[in-house]
Amino acid sequence: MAIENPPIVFSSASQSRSLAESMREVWNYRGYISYLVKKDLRTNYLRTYLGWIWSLAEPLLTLAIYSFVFGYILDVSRGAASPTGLTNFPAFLFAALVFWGFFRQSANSTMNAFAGSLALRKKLFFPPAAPSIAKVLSKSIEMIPEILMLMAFYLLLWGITGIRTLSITWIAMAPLLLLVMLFGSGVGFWLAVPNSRYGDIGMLFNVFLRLYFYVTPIIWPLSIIDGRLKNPIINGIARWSPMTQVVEASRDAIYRLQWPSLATWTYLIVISTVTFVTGWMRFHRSAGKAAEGQ
Amino acid sequence: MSIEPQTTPGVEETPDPSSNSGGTDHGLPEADPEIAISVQNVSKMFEIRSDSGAGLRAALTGFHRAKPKEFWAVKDVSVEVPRGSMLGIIGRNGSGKSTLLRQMCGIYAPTKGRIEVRGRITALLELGAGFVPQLTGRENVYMNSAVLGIPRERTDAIMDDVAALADIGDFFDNPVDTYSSGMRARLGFAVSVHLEPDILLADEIISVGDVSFSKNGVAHMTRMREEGVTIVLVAHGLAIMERLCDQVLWLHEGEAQLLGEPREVIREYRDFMTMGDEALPTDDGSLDDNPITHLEISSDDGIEFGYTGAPLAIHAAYDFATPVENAILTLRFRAQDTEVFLGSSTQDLNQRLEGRGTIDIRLPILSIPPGQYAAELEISDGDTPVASRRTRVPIRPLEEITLRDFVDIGADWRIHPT
Repeated sequence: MAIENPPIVFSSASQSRSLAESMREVWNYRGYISYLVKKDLRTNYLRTYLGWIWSLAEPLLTLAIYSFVFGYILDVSRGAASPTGLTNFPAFLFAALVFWGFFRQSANSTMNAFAGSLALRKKLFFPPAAPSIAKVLSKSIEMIPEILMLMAFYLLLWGITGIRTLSITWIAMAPLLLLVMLFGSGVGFWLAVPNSRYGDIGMLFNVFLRLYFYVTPIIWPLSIIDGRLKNPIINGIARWSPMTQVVEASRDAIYRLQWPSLATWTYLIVISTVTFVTGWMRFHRSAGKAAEGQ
Repeated sequence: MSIEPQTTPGVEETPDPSSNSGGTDHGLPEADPEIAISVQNVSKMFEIRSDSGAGLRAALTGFHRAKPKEFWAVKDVSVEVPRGSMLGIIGRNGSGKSTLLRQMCGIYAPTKGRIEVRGRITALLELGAGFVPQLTGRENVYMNSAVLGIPRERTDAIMDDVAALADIGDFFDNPVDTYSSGMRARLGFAVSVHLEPDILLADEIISVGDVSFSKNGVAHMTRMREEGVTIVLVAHGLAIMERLCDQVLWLHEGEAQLLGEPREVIREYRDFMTMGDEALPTDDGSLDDNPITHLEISSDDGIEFGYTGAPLAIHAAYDFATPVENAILTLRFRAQDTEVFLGSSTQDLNQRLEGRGTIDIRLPILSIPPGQYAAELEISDGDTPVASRRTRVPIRPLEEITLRDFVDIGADWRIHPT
């Protein structure tokens, strides 16, 4: 059956692949990727009794710590008032933390999965992006309980405060998560090849991420910098960086219960797509060579 | 381990001629579809960096002290493998065999030249390499067939055969990381032969595992060949190669030394391998007045070595000015670095030697193991040695290159199980 197909050609040109070629190659290996996802899920959760519990406990504990430090000790919750009348710092924080966490995991898994696959790649042919894609997909699936917990948290809040917290705007979370995944793995693809060569890149990236976390209005309401943060550059980053937009859009959708603006959507779609496509192309220009261990 | 799949519509499809711009000037002669694998002037270069430690700093400062060294692992190799035929690749370690094989399945991209592959490839570079350790054997079979684009029902149908060939019992439903390396290898092989590839690329697999498994492996490879699977085999088992392959490629330091009919190529290769690097020394007692003027191996095809298990003929010539009345001729073989002599003598044959003559010695079966030997011909008059001459005799294996460490004394074995 394969005989009528045109031959597969390997040449010096096949070391770097075009966008279409690499996409098609990944599609051909979807079966392989799906089993890698299965493997990830099994390794992470099925083998430890506390697996799922940990995956839920970790964000909850983080939420508790940040709520205590920033909501109670530093009390930055003044800017956390929602037009719905709800002012709840943990809820305000939770919405942002989930999205930030997904971004961080998407970027790191994309980057690290490639370096981790190089040894196997010497024995087995697979598209160089396959391990990264599988890792990001498994991380997405692992997000599901966290999202459910976020929803449960808000519904509980409704019960306690009597202020309605459920709205049709919640469904905006789905496209937002998709955009975060694209953006995060785009960043990861930019860094994957350099990181496979110099491990320092991964370390530096995580230091950078920590800084970016604090510059992004996650643990503080954006209104807090009004009139106080004078430096135009830092002010601009804090207001307009992609993750700020993600975080604010997520709060619109589930905390303030309003639709993110069209401008925000446009901005996020463009920046995520561009980051992903350029990262993907950058990755495929040199991944073949990197995989040969040079 | 593994199975390495490469699906049908693979990396690049050839039709756009622009993909050809990568350096080769083959004017796209649309290749014969009967050729499963066409390797066209392929070279592979690796860059060896000596300054691996200072990597990032060097990259950031743009200060590269040492230019990467170029190492050409494969140099301008061309070979065509017709559909349904079997190609064997032989050569010493580091001769580029595995690098060439990896290029055929897409793991390495050729630096120069191109490779065209028609059909679905399964590559066995290391049995079971493609297994995901956390999944069970059964799930890994499904995964491997999914990669090859085989429908699930088809996989269900062959599942029992795979389990039977792998012969790992209940472990089939345990995660692969609980397997022994032998079990992994068995499963890896079982999967690869049952997934019905069009092309099988195999690296040194036959030598893996215990003897019965090796037999199985050879049997299945033979069967696949009969079913029309195109096979490329890299191995050390020369006898198997000779029996199964349609053509053999001998690589030496990355270059194609010889490509052709298995018997011929393997014979040349064996000769080369046992030659070592030392030149064959001739006579040592080459004093001008040595009455034994000549001593050499004489074989029908003019080759100067013996083969274990084959007849050996030795030719000598003498010139005795003074007659040897009671000549006793002795031939001794001595292995390098031993004191052990093996030999033959004309003790009871009281021969008179005078003037010139020749001597022919025939050994019906050379039973000593392969290696470097010295053969010494000694002529004595009664108990007094009057002349001797030595020559080196390399002895090579006739079958596979398996070194036996004993002289076969041809015992008659009878085993009576009670």
